[in-house]
Amino acid sequence: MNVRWNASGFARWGRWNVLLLELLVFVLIWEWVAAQLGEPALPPPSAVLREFWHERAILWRHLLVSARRVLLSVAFSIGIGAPLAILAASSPKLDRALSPLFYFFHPVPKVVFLPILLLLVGLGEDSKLLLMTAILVFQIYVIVRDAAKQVPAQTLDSMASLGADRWQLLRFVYVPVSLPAIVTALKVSVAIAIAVLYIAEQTGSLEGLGAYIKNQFQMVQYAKVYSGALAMSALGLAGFALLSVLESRVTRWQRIELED
Amino acid sequence: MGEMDETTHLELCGVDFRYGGGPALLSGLDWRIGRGETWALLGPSGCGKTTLLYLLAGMRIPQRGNAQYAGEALRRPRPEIGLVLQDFGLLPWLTAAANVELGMRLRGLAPAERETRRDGWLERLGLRAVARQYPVQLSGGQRQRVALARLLALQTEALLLDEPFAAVDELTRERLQETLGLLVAELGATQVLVTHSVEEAALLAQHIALILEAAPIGEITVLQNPCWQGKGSLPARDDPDYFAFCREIRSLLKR
Repeated sequence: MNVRWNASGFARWGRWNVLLLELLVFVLIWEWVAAQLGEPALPPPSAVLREFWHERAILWRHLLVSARRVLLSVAFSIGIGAPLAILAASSPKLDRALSPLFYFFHPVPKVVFLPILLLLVGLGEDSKLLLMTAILVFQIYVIVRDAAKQVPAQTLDSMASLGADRWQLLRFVYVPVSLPAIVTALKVSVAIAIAVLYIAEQTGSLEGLGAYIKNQFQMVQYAKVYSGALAMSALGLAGFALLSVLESRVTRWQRIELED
Repeated sequence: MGEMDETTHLELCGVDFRYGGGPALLSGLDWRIGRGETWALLGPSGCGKTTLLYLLAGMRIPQRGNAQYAGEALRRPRPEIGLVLQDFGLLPWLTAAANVELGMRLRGLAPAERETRRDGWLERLGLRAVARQYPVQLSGGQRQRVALARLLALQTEALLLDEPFAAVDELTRERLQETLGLLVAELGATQVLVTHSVEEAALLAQHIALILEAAPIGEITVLQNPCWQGKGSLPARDDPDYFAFCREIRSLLKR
């Protein structure tokens, strides 16, 4: 038992070491290519890191604004999309009514409606949150509904024989079976939200990392553009790290088989 | 309860059943099960054994005729009837203990009562050590016992079991068969056991219902077990009469 733990602990350390090594190689190649090209649009990573450190207070302020937008839009989307998806998976009638609509609108590129939204809703927070939510909610619905549909007929029979009513079926079967998919949907959503946010913050926004990057680009401050990109990546990575912790909690019953 | 009496507990009256637009699986079937009786249902696979059990559990509604519990038509599952499915129907995201408690939670028992019964059955079925483990961590025999504990904790008057020991090894099966025999006797419950094992049927049931391939749809042949010594004392596995009875069943099934 102890030996096995040590072995898996070592494997985990090994994985981090490999990642660090790969990142180091990446940075070195970048540094070398940047030095060869001497192109202002590709500053060396050393300059980017210097600029990142110098700008840290400003970047932090913009990051907080962006993080708030990501958090709110993901929360709205999961709050609307996941319950609807779970209800649809558990009710053939609702599924027939909702799912074709969601699947139809899911591939529509909603980001192209940004200018219209800005006209209709205004330049403030609402238009950004509305756009991000409109994009995420379909994604979440599709992922969660497909997962919740996987409940085996035998499980439903067994629950029925124990006397479960509709509400208990949702609580004891459909919600727990959907939790891993909800975390997956959250991970996908954070990545998409950040990408959409970058576009949404380009127009009529003074705050947020997207606005910061756009301004620095217009002022030909390329090292600062990269610093902004670095901050945006940090935001995405932090989101992923938090969600990984959540994931390991809700999928315990699945992973346990692999650990043993 | 206790001693068996002559009142009808579960009954199928003139039942026709088919799935969707499929062929008739059962047609004009009559079957009467007395209170406290122990039955085994034997037949080739695909003959509708599981469907019969589902009808008795109120989980399928026949197209014609009806299933009755104590004289009342069954339209939905009733709390007096407990069912264990072939794959045991455990929820993979709940621990063994939580799975045992599940049926009682669904039926709204008070937490204190639930815990007492749960711990009692975990103990009796030798599951205390694995109470906090998830189904994937358990062996087939342990999973089966969890399903049995979940059923017994409900204290139902009828126990319906669908091939409960099909997925466990020989030794575990023999031990579980003995446990089941004792518990059914102790609880005074009516038992309907679906099985494909002739030996198991002859061991665990006083009445044996056979669905024969050659017989017309909807006909069951009923045999009385000559080795039956009353509930709780199973026939000896090496008893010549027991062998002879198994042979008799086999020859009927082969015909």
